[in-house]
Amino acid sequence: MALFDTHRPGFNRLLLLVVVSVILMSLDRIGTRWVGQLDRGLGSITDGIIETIGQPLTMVDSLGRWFTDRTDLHTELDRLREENTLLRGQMQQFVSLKREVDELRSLLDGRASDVPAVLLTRRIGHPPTPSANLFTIGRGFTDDVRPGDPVIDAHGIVGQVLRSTATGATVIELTSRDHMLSVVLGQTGRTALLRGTGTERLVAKRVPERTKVQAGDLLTTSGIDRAFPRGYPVARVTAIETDEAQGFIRVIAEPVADLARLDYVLVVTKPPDAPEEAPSGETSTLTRPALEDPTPTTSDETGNGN
Amino acid sequence: MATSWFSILLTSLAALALVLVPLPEEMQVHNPQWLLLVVIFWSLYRPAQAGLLYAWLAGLMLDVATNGLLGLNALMFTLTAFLVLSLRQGLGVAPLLSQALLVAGFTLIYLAVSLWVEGAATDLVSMATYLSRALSNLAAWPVVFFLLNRVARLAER
Repeated sequence: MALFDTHRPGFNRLLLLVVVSVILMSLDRIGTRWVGQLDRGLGSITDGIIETIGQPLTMVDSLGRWFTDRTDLHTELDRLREENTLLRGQMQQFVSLKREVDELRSLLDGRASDVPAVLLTRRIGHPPTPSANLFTIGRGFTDDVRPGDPVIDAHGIVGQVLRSTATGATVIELTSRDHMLSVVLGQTGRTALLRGTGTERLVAKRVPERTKVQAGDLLTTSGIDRAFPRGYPVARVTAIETDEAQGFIRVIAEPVADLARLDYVLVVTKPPDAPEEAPSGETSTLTRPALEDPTPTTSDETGNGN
Repeated sequence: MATSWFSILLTSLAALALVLVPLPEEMQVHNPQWLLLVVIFWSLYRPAQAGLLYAWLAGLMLDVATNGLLGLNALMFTLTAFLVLSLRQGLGVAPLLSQALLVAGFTLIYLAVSLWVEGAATDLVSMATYLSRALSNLAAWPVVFFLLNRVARLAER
C-alpha cells in the first residue's frame, strides 16, 4: 500500500513552511530576542555534537604523548621552566607598576584598575562555512562566556564571542569581513576603525594624512567601542596606502595573534572597562561634581557671570 | 514505525556530525552535504515518516550549526524535499546513476537559490517591511475577492 501511495506533499504545507522560514530569516536579520534564544537552545545541541567529534581528536593527541621521547619532554620542561621564571620576574615589576598606577588613578578619579578575569579554553572545531573566520570553543555560558566577550591568545586579540550555548561558544575572528574594532594607531593616540577583510589583512580606512604612522607600528585596542578593554595589542602595520579620498591614508595591518595555529585561547570574561561598568562610571563622574560640591561651582558660575 | 523514526533521527544526527567534522579549509569545500543527502534519501524511501517538516527541522539544525542566517537552509531543505517528494514515483525506481545525477542537479539549484536568498537578505535594509506587504496582501485578498465578485456578478446580469 505504502509503495503505491503518491505522498505528494500538500502545497499549503510547503507554503506555510516557506513563510515560516522567511519570517525566521527576517527576524534573525533584525536580531529578535526569541530567535536568539532559539539559536542558543539548538546551538547547545550542535555545539555538543562538535565537542563529541572533537573528543577522539584530543584522545589521539593524548595517546601521542605516550610515545613522545623522554629527553624531548625534559628539554620542553626546562624551556617552560625558564619561561615561567622569566615571566614571573617580569610580573613582579608589573605588580609594583600596577600598584603605582592604581594609586595615581585613585588620586585622579577614585577608580582602581582591575586585572581582567580570563578563562583558558580550547578551540574544538570550526563550522563548515566557506569563509572560515569562525571557530568553536569548549566553554559556554555556564562558564560565564557571554556574546561579545573578547577572545585573546598569547600575542593579542583573536576576536569576539558571537554566540554562547550550554555546551560551547562560537567565536568570530577579527579578520572576518563582519568584524570591526576601534584601535589606537601606534604612538599617535589617534583612533581608527579596523575592519577585517576575510583574509590575513586588516584595513583602517580614512585615516588623516598627517597621522605619523608607519609600517611596523603596533595597533592596540582603544576601548572606545566598549567591546574590547583598552591596551591589548591587535595588529602590526604592514603598509600605508593612499585612500581614494584626498587627504586620507589607508592603513593595512596584520593581526599579531597567531590565527593560523590557534589551539588554546583566553576568553576575557570580565573586562575591566566592561559596558555595564563604564556607563555608571561615566554618569558618576558627570553627576558627582554637581552633587557633591555645589557651592564652589555656583560661586564660580556667578563669578563668571559677573 | 517507531524504529523507523529512531533510525531517521539517528542517521540525521550522524550526517550532521559528518558535516561538522573539522577539516582543513581546502578539503572543506569538497565535503558533501551529508545532511541534505540523508534528507533526500528518507523523503524518497520513507515519505510517510520523513515529510516536509522533517526536512525543515534538519535544515534549521544546519543553520544553527553553521551560524548562518536562521531559516535559509531550512527553506532550501524544504524546497528540495518538496521537489523530491513530487518527483518521487519516477525517481524512486530510477537507476542509481540517474538518481545521483538528479541529486547533483538538485544541489546546483539549491546552491544557486541559497546564494540568491543570501544576497537578497543582505542587501535589503529589512526584509520585514517586504514581509508586512505580503501579510497585508493576505488581509486584503478577501476584501478584493468579495468586491470584485460582486462586480463580476453585477456585470453578468
